[in-house]
Amino acid sequence: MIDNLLIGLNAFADPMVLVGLIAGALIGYLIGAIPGLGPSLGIALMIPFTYSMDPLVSIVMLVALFAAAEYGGAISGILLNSPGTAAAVATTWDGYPLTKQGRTGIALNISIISSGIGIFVSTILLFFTAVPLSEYALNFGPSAYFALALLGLSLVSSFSSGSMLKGALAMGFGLALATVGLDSQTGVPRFSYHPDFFEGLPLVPVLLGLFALSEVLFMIEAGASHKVKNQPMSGILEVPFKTFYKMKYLFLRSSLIGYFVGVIPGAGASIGSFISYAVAKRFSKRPELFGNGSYEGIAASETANNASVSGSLSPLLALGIPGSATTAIMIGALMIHGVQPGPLLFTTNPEIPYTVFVSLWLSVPIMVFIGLAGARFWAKVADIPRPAIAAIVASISLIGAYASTSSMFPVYVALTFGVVGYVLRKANIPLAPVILALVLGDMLETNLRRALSISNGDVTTLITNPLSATLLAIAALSFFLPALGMFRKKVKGYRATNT
Amino acid sequence: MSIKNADAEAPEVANKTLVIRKKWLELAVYFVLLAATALYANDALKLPSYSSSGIGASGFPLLVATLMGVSLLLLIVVSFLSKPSQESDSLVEISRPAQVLLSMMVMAAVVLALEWVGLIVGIALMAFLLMKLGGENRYSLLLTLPPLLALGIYAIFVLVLGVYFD
Repeated sequence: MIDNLLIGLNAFADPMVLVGLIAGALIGYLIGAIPGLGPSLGIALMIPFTYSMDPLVSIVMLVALFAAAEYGGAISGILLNSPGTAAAVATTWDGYPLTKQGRTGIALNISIISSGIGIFVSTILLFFTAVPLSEYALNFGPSAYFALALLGLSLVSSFSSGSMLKGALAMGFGLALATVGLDSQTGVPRFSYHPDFFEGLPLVPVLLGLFALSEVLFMIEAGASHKVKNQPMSGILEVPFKTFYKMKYLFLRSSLIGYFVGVIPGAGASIGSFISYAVAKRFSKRPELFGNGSYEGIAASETANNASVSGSLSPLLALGIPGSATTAIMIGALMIHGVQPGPLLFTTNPEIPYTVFVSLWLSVPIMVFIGLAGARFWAKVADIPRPAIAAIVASISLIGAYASTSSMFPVYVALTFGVVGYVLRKANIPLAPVILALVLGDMLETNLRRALSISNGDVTTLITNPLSATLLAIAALSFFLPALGMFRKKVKGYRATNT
Repeated sequence: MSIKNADAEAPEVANKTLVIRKKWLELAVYFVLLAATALYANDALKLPSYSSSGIGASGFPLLVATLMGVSLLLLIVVSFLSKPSQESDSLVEISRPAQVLLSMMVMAAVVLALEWVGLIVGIALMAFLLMKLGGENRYSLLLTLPPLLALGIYAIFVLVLGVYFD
């Protein structure tokens, strides 16, 4: 394992890999600091720039961007009470009160250092869990892989926007999109009304449409943003070491919470930060400060939401299963460079996962330096006029879609999915299951057909294998338990209104 | 459906808000998706149902069509039966609907005309129009950002990344 880690470290002998890491961290901060943009959109927008890059450079850049964008969301939350990402909401509860008290610099400092600690500790956990998990997964057969993919999809769908049925619909929509193109086993064209569709729907233009162009339409809807008052950055370098030392157990606890919540498909950084915040409040000696500018509140939220970045990379690297929209987009980026995540990755391309581990560790000092040194600049980023951001995002998305194959077909796809994404979001249908199903659809179908082929069409093969039976049972529970809860709540409400 | 004046702070720009009952918007989306699912299932039925590997090209799409069909039917039933807990829950607001629609048209028009007008002019024109539609009225920004953005994109994609545009 240590030898492989040296392979990862060796990748940084190429200066371009280090440049990729720094560029990713800078762009991630920039994207995270702008309210409305976030890691998913940031990675989708950056993929077109990586087409001609070396795979390692592009992967390191995207990983650094993911981590930095997760932190960047806290900047606008602390300064403007408008979190850049959902995961930074809990940070805002204490960060903005500190800004109102004239302690913006302290709030930013604690959030930056906590983010760094979260990533550092959780990457150690990633290192010690992803490798054994990938070794265990080498024994998985087609039925276990089918069950695993289904579990990932069911968890994401049941976690999304409170409606299980809408999650199921979004999942079905994504799976339907995944079936477009030549059937991988028989070569029969499916739902392909033009030869351009034979290779399936191009993933990057679909991502750019659903995430970036739909967001452009939401920005147009929101209109021009108002100028924000500049906050003084006093105290950004004046937080004593003992402030952090006092919170050592909080950092450890929040990193563990963030990491393990991040591993669960669909749970993600925001749930991790909320749980960590609530636990920190319970253990705090001064719980009354929470919501009024507690240092512990900021530290708990930021440590956990950044730790979840490493957590979400665990199923992606070890099993090839994305646990969130952001990691689904990451899978798309890896596939473009001919890298197939999953258990075999650790044996066929060990330089990829181990470089990811090392880049996460190396991103910590870089992120802390960029965050502290550029605090004034990041504060101004949140003030870029919204119509200008809309124009930039639309231009990069459309030209990025064109650049994927140097033809107009992906541009039409991106545009179409921009409108589709806007309508789906207006109807409260979540986009994350659509993307996850689109990415996992092929894996789900291929493994189902393989499993049935091996068993001569006997469907019980899916439940006679103990591993796949367990995974399918968890998938069914995760899907139907929330529905049962909602049904009970509705019945209770109905009874209450009729008595 | 109704239209009201949403932006009282900027009376010079009549920014309307389209207010739609959430139930009707959702039902419209569900029925469109139901029709699409029916077409999808119909096409799936025409695919070979059996192959040497056991399950044919139609098997998985039919499963997907069933999942979507059942979800949609249940959602339609739930939509008809459910009552919103508050008045605000039952409404969906689309602010500046004309600008949103025009933005879609601008993007489509620029994409269709891109090969004719060229990358730099196309992007600059689209950026200018989107910024204007987004509510930006400062000409200093409207006249500087679009050409800079177009040149920047040209420099990165064409000169650095080697993307070829006709």
